[in-house]
Amino acid sequence: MKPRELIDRFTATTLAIIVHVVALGLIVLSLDYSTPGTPHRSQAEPMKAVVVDESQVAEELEQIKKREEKKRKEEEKRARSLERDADKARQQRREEEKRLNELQRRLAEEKRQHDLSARKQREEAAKALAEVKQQRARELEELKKLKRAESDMEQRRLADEAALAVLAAQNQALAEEKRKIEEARQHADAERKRVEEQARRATAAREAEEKRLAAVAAAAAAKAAEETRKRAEAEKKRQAEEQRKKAEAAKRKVEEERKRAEAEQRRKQEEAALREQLAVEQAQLDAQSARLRDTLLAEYIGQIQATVNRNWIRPTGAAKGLKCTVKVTQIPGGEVVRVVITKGSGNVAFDRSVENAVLRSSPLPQPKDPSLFTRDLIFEFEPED
Amino acid sequence: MIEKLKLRRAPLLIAGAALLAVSWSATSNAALTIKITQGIEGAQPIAVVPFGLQPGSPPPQDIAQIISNDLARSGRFSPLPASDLPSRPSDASTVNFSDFRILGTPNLVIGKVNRLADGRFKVEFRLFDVFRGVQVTGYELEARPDELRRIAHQMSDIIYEALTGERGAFDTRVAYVTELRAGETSSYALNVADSDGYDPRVVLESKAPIVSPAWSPDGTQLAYVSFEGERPRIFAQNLATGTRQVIAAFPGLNGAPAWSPDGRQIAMTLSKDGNAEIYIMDIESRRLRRLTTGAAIDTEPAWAPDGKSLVFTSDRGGTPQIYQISATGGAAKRLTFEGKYNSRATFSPDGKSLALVHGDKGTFRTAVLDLENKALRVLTKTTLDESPSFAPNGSMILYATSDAGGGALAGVSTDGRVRQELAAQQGDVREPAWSPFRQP
Repeated sequence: MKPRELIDRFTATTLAIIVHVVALGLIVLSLDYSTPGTPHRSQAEPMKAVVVDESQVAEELEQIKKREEKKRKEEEKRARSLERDADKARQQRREEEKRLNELQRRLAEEKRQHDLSARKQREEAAKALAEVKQQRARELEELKKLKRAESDMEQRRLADEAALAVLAAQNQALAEEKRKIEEARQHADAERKRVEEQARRATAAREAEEKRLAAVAAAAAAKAAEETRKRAEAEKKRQAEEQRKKAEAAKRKVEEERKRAEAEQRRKQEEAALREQLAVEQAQLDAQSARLRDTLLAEYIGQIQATVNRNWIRPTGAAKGLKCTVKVTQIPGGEVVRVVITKGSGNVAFDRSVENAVLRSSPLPQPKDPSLFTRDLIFEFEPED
Repeated sequence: MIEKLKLRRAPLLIAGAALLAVSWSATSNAALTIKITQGIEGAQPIAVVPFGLQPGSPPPQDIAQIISNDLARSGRFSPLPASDLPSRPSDASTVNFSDFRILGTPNLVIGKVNRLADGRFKVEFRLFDVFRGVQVTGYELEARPDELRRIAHQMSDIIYEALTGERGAFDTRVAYVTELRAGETSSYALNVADSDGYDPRVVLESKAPIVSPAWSPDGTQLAYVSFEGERPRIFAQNLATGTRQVIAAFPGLNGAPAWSPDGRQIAMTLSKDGNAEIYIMDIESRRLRRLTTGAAIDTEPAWAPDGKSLVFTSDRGGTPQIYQISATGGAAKRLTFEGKYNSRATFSPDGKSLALVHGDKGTFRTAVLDLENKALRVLTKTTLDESPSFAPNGSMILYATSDAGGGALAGVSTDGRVRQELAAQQGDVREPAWSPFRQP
């Protein structure tokens, strides 16, 4: 604050001095202004002193005094103005201070507000965090569930795998069984080989023994040994043979059993197929025969119709709509032995024409298939028009 | 006058009957049903074998030929030509049915004629069912030589009825008028002949025209119009006695008599009241009842079989057409609408149709109008037919038609299938009328 005052004072002093200097200068210059205008000659011309009127000087002095007064007044005015300006500046400064204070107050307020909102934010953040945490917990729970489901699935998968394993095991057991059968077969082979090997080895041993005996014992001993050997060999051979035969017999038996079962199965299948084939053929034959019979029956009826129609002379001038039914008896060969009107038309001429038509048609045509022959026939005579 | 003795069936077919009996009892499989819908409409074949004759005394008539012609004329039968006969048996015992079966002829007529000591003839005939080999019917009749034609017609009636179930109309008569021209003059005769036109007998001769003969329902009288005395009068004449009486002699026209079915009335055309109208006269009282009125000509009345109505010809519609009116009078109903000319209608015996003359483009032909469906059927191909009348059994229509020699008698079966002229007559034949059945 002090430096500011200092500056203000300095400024006022300086201004006062400047004002005085300027006033002096103006006084000097005012002389020229009052003289009338004369043409200037050259500079070489000597300066001539001019006499001035006394009243004029006094007036001029008065004028200067007035000007001085005016100047002073203006100076005072300016000083007052300056004073006012200073007041104004002070006022301004106060207002500035006030403003600053206000600013500071506002800043404090803002800070307070800021602090408040910051707290709020912090609280909200904390809350959000809590929510996030909860969410997280839920997600974790979900995850656990998923994991459990996964584990269930895993268990099922394991169960499936176990089932598969069982199946595999079964398959394996089957394979194993197969393998065992194979093994048994191989075993039998091996056994056979082993026996052979044994025999071979025994032979080798025997040979060695023989050699050794030959080398050591006498010919008699050798003979005895030979006999013993032969016996042993025979026995071994027999045993081996027996074993081989047993194995073979067993194998053969199994094979035969299999073949027999297969043959039986085949036979049964063939028999069934044959039976089916026979049934189909029989059905076809039956259908064919029925069709043939139908055809032949239609043909038979058609022939009878044609014959009777040809032989039927309907009476002229007979009324329309007459109908006559007759029962006809024929004997094998088609000879008509009896015609009985079962339902007459009521018109004698018409009914007679019907009877005559049948009798005229005797012998009736015969069916190609004798089994179609029917002793009794019913004829319905009814003209189409 | 003619003795008729029914012949018993010959016992020759006992064997056949036995066979039938056997088949009767025979069991058989289920019967097959066969429908027959075609056939051929036609006359039924029949073989009429010439009758056996006694050597040395032939009868004056060929009985079998008369029977054969009768049956053929009916249109219902087709007799085998004599030349086609496989055998000619005259006794039942000599019939070989298989001969006729081969021909497919279901009916066979045989017979014989024997002259009796008194000059009469004994005629015997039998009708056989060829396929069954059985006799259908058989009769023995005795007759004078002049009765032989009639005997033959009677046999035709018996055969016809046995085979069709309908009464035969061969033993009936026809009345007709003949005109004989000799130079400038003509003579007229009213005749009655057998239904085949044979044996004509004149019942009236006149120099004046005779028209419109009409039979009494019992067949004993003929009513007719005669112009004797220069004006037409209606007479009724007893055929047996020849006596006659005047029925109507009113001023003007007296014409077209028609007996009522009960024979008590005669319908006629009179112009006594100025215009030709239909009247009905009670014969006993001679009282007249006028049936029609009006300015038109009404004529040619004919009774319905039930006697309740009449048909007549009238030009009230501008052209001659047939109308029907109640016997008690009243309004007349027009029946014909086809063509510009329909006249001379008569009822069929069953009352279901009319025979009439139908004019068309200058031709006049015999036609039948079915009263039920109003269908008109022209039966003939001739050009100038007149006066059609039904046989009493309705099987044929008799009419007069113009041929080269003038008018002639002709017959046509009601289905139009068989048309033929009857026995040639002397002169120009007109106005035929078929008699009723003979009274027993």
